[in-house]
Amino acid sequence: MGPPKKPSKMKKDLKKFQKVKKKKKNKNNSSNKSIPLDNKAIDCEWWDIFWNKNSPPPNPDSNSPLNEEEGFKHFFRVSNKTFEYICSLVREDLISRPPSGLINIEGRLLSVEKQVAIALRRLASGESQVSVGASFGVGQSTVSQVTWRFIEAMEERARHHLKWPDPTQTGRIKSGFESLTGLPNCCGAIDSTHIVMTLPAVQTSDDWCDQENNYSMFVQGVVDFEMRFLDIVTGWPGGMPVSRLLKCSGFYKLCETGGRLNGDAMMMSSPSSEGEEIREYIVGGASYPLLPWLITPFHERGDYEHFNPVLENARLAAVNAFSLLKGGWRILNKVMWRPDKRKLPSIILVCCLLHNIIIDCGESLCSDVALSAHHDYDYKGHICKQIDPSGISMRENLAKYLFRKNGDALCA
Amino acid sequence: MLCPAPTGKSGKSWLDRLRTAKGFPENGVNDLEQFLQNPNSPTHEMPQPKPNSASISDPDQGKDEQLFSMMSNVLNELFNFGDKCSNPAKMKKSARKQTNPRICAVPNIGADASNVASVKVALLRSGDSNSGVEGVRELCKWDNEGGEEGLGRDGNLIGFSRTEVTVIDTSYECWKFDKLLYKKKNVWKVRDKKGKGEILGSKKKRKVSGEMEENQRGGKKSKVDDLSSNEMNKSEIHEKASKKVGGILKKKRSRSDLNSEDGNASVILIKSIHTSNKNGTSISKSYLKSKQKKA
Repeated sequence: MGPPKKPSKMKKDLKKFQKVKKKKKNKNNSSNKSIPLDNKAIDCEWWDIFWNKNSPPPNPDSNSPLNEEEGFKHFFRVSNKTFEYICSLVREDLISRPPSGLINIEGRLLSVEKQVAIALRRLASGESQVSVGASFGVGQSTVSQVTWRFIEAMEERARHHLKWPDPTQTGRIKSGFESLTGLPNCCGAIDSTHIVMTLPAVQTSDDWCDQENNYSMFVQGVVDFEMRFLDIVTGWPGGMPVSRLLKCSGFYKLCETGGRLNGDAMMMSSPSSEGEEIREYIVGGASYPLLPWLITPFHERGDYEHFNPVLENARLAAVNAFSLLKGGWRILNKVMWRPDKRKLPSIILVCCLLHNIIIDCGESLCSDVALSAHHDYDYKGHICKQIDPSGISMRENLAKYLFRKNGDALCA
Repeated sequence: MLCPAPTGKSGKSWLDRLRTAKGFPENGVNDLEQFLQNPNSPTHEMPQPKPNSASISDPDQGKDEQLFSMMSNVLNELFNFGDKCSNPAKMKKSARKQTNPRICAVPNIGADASNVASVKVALLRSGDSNSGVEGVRELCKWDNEGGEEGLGRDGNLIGFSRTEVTVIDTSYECWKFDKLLYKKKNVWKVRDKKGKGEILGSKKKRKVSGEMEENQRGGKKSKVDDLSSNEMNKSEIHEKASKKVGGILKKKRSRSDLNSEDGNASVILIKSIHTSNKNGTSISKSYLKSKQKKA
């Protein structure tokens, strides 16, 4: 922790703090029962105090030290503007109403902003509750309580940031994928990752043990070309085969029954493939089964060697999204110590919601926070050989289309 | 077991008649003894009577066989051997447990999703011609995992470990739900955690028996009325209960009147004291006290 940068501000804070103390004493003398909401009693200068306490020491080698704006994003992963938006989402649930509001060590009520900051810092850094608490001047239990309250509030109030796109949005996604990768009618990319945790070495933990002998929980997500999560499923043990995880998901059921990926098919125009069509689909890795709506790479080298790199390029959206998710919200990348398995899915969901909020607010996801290695690098992807015949023809149609398109491009 | 010898059709004893009715041979005293002594191993006992009966008791071979097949049918029904086994030689081989357990058949595929799943399994099977060993293994896994949630297929979950999982799936209207996960090596089965319906059902049952109590305590009458309209038994209980505690119910009504009409409160309160029994009096007294305090 660096030395305090702004001694004048610190003095101001001290004065304010003393004033508040005096005021509180007076209040206690006059009326014990009702404490009016007083902005001065609320901890509003949390950022100044936090920044003074935690800003990195000026580096003599680097010309441009981290400014406050960059520092804010570094600590909380979001810009000030997005931070305010998040606060507005959860304000109703987190606002401290005396006498039940949360207080910090000095006895002041925690502002919504400070609560959101504590929760975001805990999720973003994955540091222990004790050290997060120390950086904010609150205790471990406050961090625990505040984080969970924030998660519950977000789960309830930020749902609209994670939903399957309507037809108009789907059109945008399709054209996004096509312009990025050349794949037509592609509606998303699917991938999954493990959230590793420690569990007590008892028999009941065995079901959470995966193939790499870790205890883990799965997260599966479908993302768009901007790495926005469109659908997630989490809570299932990490030892499950990926194909089984997919089958357990509501997404699978909806796609199989025509509830999703049921939009307009693209008719192939060439004379050789007349009447053939390319329906809406998503792309997935080799660990997923080949289905009419889920296109996976060719396992054998054949005529369509050009196809796999294109597919992989589209699939990268999902891989990168998970890498950014786990890198941005490090709580998901660190080995969680005996988490409550009923609460862990909510934590994962809220991290996905925050990831989406950043995109929806027009901010760029910090690429520097992304993991340097693959998001699931400990896990060898098992090749799934489940193949659906109509998936085969669908994949061939796609490969033909790309082959012809490439040929036309070369001719031109 | 001793029983009188059959004297003729008209002179059949009650035991014989019972035996005939249940499909046991009338003269099968030995068989019955053996059956009672070794009820767990009927298959080994079954073939034995054949030579015995042929040589000693009954010279008519055809009739004996008929009787025997009848008995074996009864035993089949009793112990659920599976298919009817008319041939005693076959019976000898068959074990007590089903050789071909019925779990292999999928009896209840009602839900749409599960239907789709089964179709998918078929599709995968047909499309797996070019897959390697691993693929086949995977496919078996897929097959084994067919026990999807909501199938209503109990299956044999012996040896499976059970885990309760909280799942968040944004595809569903309700994102968060609990599931039961059964795992045995690579086989995963998912079941719904006992749904609200079942919990409600058990609560309802408890409510039926607890209605008396509730009424005696002067519980929520409107709820009792709602429930009683659904089931005959409940209504009967309710009637009995309401007779017993009629005074209390009346008093309840008067209390509700009290709430609605503040002005006449004291008059109604005096009425209620007259009609109530011991319990009711105590309630009304306490109510009176609280009213007085308020006043």
